[in-house]
Amino acid sequence: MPEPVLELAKITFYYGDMLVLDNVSMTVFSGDFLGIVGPNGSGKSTLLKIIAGLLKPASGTVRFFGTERENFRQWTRIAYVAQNVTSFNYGFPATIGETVMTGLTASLGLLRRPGRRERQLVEESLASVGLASLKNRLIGELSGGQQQRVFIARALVASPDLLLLDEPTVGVDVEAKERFYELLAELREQRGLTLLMVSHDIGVVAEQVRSVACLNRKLYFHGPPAEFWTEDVLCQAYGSAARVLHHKDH
Amino acid sequence: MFDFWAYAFMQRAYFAGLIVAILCPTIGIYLVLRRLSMIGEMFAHVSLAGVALGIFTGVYPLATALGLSLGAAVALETLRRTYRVFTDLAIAIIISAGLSLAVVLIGLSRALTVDLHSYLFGSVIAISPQDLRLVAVVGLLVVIFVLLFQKELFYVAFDEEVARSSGIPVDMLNLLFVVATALTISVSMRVVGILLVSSLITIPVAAALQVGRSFRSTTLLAYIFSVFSVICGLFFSYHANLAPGGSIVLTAVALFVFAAGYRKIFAAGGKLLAHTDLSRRSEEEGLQANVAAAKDY
Repeated sequence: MPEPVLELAKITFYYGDMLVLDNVSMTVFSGDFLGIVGPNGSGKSTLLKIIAGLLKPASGTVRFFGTERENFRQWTRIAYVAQNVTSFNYGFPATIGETVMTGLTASLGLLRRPGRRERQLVEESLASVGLASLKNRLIGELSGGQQQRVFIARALVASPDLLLLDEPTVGVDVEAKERFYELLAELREQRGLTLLMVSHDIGVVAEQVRSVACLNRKLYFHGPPAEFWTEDVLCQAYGSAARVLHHKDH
Repeated sequence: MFDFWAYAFMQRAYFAGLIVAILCPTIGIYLVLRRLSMIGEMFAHVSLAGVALGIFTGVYPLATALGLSLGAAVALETLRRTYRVFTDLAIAIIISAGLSLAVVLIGLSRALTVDLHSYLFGSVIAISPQDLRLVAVVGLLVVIFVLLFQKELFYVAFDEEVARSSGIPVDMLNLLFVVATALTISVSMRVVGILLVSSLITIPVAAALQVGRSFRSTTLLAYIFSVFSVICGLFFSYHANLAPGGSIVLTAVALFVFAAGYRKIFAAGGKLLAHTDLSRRSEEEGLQANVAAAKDY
């Protein structure tokens, strides 16, 4: 039986007076690849931010690797890749190498500077996403797909056990998207990573992941993708329009 | 030509100037990259109120400027929490408060104009041994702070949200950084003057951003530009009897224009290169795709 990496119990969250997450419970086991899907404004990014420790739920408990959030200190075991379009500034004068090095900030701890071992880790991490040759290029000079790989390399450099991805393929072309999913599959196999990915792209997600969670304020479904299509969850979570969208896909 | 070195006041001006030249880009690089350049302007206005208060009450003006700036740093962090979306609004409010307080205090005492003049425009002859000591101590504190937390400051400037999620104490770091900024500006204004202190924070960094090819090289260039501006500016100031703030910042602006021009020429060449690079790559990829397709058959 694999170890539970993440346990959510009765999570509720409000933005002001607006209920965004209503009584969401789920458990993610080690080695899983979970896709969280749902319509716009369904609270999926909010849920990911709660898991990343950026937001505090109004009620409910979060456990990481069996430890309650309040007592959890090993944040380096969890890596978060934000939606790159929103969180970073393209004119920033950082090279790819410098960008990936930031991923080691927390594990180095305060007052310690990166040395030879850290530079080695950065090179290895860049090599694992296939960007070793671009180490000295500025981050703003890369394509969207390459930048996404850099952020994956940064997330991986501290050897996390759980990788959180928020809409990782937004603004990336179809070809780069495919290569990106190949990379994720490789990393999961080689490193035994547990992956949690938020996406609005149901069709693609269901093809790639091992389990799907369908969210729209409440959790409507959590299980293998095959069951996701056969059950009537899409209709419930998305409303009747989803049925049309579903049929178009096939 | 170098007879100015014989004067103790000129030596003090150069020592203080060099400390300030190191200090300003040390803080400036993070301010500019976080798009918070206006915070420099804010502390300058608050410092003006502090200086006016000091002269008015007969207290050492740099001390009152420091005190008031620290108060503004705390006010800024509080206001920022209230107006999360509108950080610039918090800055605008404090700028207004600082400037209006300064105007009222200056109006109250008409005798302070001469002294105030040296704070507004910077002064070479006015730097006392006491000023130099304060500049040195504060400068040392700020440089030590930034050296200790360099990688954290860089991470937070680059990607605050992800830094926070990895367990970096972002709020504590932000507060300390704003305090370090307040300290830097209060002591720097003695040399460059209140009106121009935020320029020395931003312009050498802006020039370095034009030509830097990494964070490391950008930081290094910002230091070089800043130190060069202060040395040249003070030199011109002494020989042509100019206000030092003006000649220092004019030198920095000239460097910025050169850097921007250099980038324009260099970037045009760079684009050409990038273009050929890209077309070669797509050709290669096309070839690989063909090979792969051939294998399929």
